[in-house]
Amino acid sequence: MDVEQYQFDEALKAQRAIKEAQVAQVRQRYGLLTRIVLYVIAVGFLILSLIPIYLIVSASFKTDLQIFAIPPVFIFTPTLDNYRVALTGGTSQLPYVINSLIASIASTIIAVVFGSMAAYGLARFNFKGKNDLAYWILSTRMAPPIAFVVPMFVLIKSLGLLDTWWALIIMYTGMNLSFAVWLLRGFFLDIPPELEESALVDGYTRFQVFTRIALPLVKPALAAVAVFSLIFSWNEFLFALILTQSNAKTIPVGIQGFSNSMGINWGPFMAVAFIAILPVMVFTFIMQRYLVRGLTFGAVK
Amino acid sequence: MAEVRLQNVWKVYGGTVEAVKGVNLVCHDKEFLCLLGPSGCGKSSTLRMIAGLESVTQGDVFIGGRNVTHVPPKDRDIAMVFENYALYPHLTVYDNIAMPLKVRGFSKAEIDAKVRHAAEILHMTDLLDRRTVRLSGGQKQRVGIGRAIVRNPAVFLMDEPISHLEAQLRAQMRVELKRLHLEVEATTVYVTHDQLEAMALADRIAVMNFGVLQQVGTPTELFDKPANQFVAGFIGSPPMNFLTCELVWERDELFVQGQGYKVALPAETKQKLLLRGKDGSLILGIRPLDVRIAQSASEATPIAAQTFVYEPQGETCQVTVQLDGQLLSVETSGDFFTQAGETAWIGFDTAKLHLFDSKTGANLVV
Repeated sequence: MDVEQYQFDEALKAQRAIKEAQVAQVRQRYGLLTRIVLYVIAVGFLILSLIPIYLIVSASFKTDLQIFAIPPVFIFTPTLDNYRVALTGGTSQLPYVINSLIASIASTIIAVVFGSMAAYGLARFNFKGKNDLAYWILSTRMAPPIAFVVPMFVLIKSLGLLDTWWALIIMYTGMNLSFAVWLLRGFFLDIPPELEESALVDGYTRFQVFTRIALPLVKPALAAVAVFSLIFSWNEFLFALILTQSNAKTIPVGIQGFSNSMGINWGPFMAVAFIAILPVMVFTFIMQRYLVRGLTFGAVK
Repeated sequence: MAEVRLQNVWKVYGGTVEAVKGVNLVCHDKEFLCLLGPSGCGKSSTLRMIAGLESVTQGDVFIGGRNVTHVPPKDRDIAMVFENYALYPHLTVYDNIAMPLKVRGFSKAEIDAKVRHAAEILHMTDLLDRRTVRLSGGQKQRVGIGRAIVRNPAVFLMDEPISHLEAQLRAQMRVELKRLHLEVEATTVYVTHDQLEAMALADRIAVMNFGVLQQVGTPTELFDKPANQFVAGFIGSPPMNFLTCELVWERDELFVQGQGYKVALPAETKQKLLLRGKDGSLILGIRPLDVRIAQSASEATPIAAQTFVYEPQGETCQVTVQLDGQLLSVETSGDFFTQAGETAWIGFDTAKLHLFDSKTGANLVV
């Protein structure tokens, strides 16, 4: 047995050495010049995508004069006036931020919880019309949202849910669920059924197998679903605009209204924009390491 | 420990595919029973129904006298070992073996004692802290077996546990499994498609084909007295030779006659055939070892055949001869020599000759 272990370890070492050699070979092939060019392109792209964010953040701390100064001011004393305008008094966007948080967090949680359960059912159990059901779920994503905005408005209105959180939560959950179900189903299919059967024999109930064996194994996918659902719900504009007026208005609609009400007041506008970007950015950073694994895992299989 | 009993068990998939058809089978207490058959014969479905991983379409499953047909797997007091190990990849060897105990709420001290004991039996105490991804196939399956024995269940179910391993390791694990069975004395139902494995391990073997139980018996019984042509052909390596033949009466003697040969049957065989009232066209079966071969004609080797292929294998050799167009394999001692194309003289050991009904395949001389 020790011999067996030894051979196995040796084989593992050999595999690793081969892989390292291959990587080294690839590195050698690209000369120094190629690598410099690659870095320049990468840095250029990075700057390009960061400029808008820099503009938003810097402008939100500047006075109007500084915002429009030519040449642009890079060093200035930051002011919080813009944020005061954006978050307090009659023009406060704070309620909209809260609405957005509630609608997107709630719909994300519901999509992850129900999506994982539906996906597990579709991946593990055989029942009549299983594939039809799966494709029906997928089909809910096929029409462009604008196509069913009017029927949805009528539905929500007759339910008496216009301008409530519920209207948004229901809509966003519906839109996120199909994505959640399809992504997670693939992951659940990748778990060998024997692993779960062995747990069933070991003493788990089917539900315990789901929560303690299956879910921990698809953590990366859960993270990916959560991030995408949250970003989608947070950024969603069309339905929020149609289905809400004031009570449940979300921040994307808020920004739009903010600019209209008094012309464009750039300082406070940028402050609101920054507030709107912040939560998604923070959340994505937190989930980042799961996210990369989640996306590549699904892609490889 | 307990007895496993299947009573007229059926498994039908999707209302049309009959995977298991009316199986009646008993695995006695402490017995090692092998379910043997080609792939798709229903042996795995049968095992999974015993485990409760597959619903029973019709019939009943008993474990230790208790009807468990509708009892979930966790309450059947069984442990199962899977072909592809089914280890939890995110856990260490120790935690994998400890899992069934943790689920059942054993105390930490108890778990530790039991896991270490199981590891000792399987000689893997020094591997307990390893992650299972860093183990070889044989070790992984040892962990799988450890997870099964740690709970001391009433019945072990094994679904081709060593089929994934390479030949050498498989032979080694076979020895370990047999030794383990002697040590823990657990009722074991073991599924395999490898007849050598079944012969080596089992107290009794149940052969299945097309969802139907063909025969249950000890390895010797199956080898010497196969119930039908399928069992005769499936067990034994190289497999039994089958030739078409006719029964022919000449005075008081009964002969079997086929293309290129005619052999008198011994009195015992004759009587059995008479009792069954069989006549006409049959299938003759004879194992390669029961065919005599020589370089010259004699009373024991009266039939002329042509050597087709000669395969020396050290202590023995295998000769495939051509008998009037039909191929026949013969196994004999290694010092026999012939060449392709040469005439070889063969004879049948008539006491070990089997005759099968050409329609039903039933063995007429057991």
